[in-house]
Amino acid sequence: MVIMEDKKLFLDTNILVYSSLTNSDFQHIARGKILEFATNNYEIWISRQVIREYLSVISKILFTEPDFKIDDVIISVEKFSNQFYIADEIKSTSEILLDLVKKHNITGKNVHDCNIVATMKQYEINNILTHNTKDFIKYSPREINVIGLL
Amino acid sequence: MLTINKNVSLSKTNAVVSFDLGKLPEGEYQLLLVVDVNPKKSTKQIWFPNFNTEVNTSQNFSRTEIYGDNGR
Repeated sequence: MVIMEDKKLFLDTNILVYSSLTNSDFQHIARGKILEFATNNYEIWISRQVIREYLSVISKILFTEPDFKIDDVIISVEKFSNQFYIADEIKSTSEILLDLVKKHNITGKNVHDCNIVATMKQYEINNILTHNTKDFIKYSPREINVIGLL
Repeated sequence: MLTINKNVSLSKTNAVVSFDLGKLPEGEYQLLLVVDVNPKKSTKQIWFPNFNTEVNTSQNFSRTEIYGDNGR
């Protein structure tokens, strides 16, 4: 695992999702990786986009569970928001996104991944922890450093 | 111009911050306080939710699935 020494780590949505689900094969490894970086004094970052996507995915997964309560999901988002750094999207984030779209010829749904990269660059976060390394590999290592969950 | 870079802890019951400006000569001064509104966070202990599901949920959550076929 190659880590750029900037001490900032961005959590992709899938990492937050796995870390929250007791019946996921990836829960322990997701939590372990996050704790490993935190113990090594990394700032742990998420973004507003990650929060929205987490809400969407988790509520969709849990909706059919008999003890589902949307309040529990909301509380989890609030607690994540309180303990992690939050990257807000601002005007210059959109400008970075447009530059990246042009530079890497990004189209369709790949724009959503590109916006994650743009937000990371806005806040000078070089490292992303994700289970979907293939979605970000086109940006590595020139734009960001991609760290796989497994 | 004097620059002071100071880390402080604020809480609901302690929101008062003091600065030692004793080295400055007596007089009237204007203080301009710039605060980084993204507070430093302690991530030594991290809380995680424990959501139970009846089925194993280890599927791959890429944005292709999150945003669906119409890209939304």
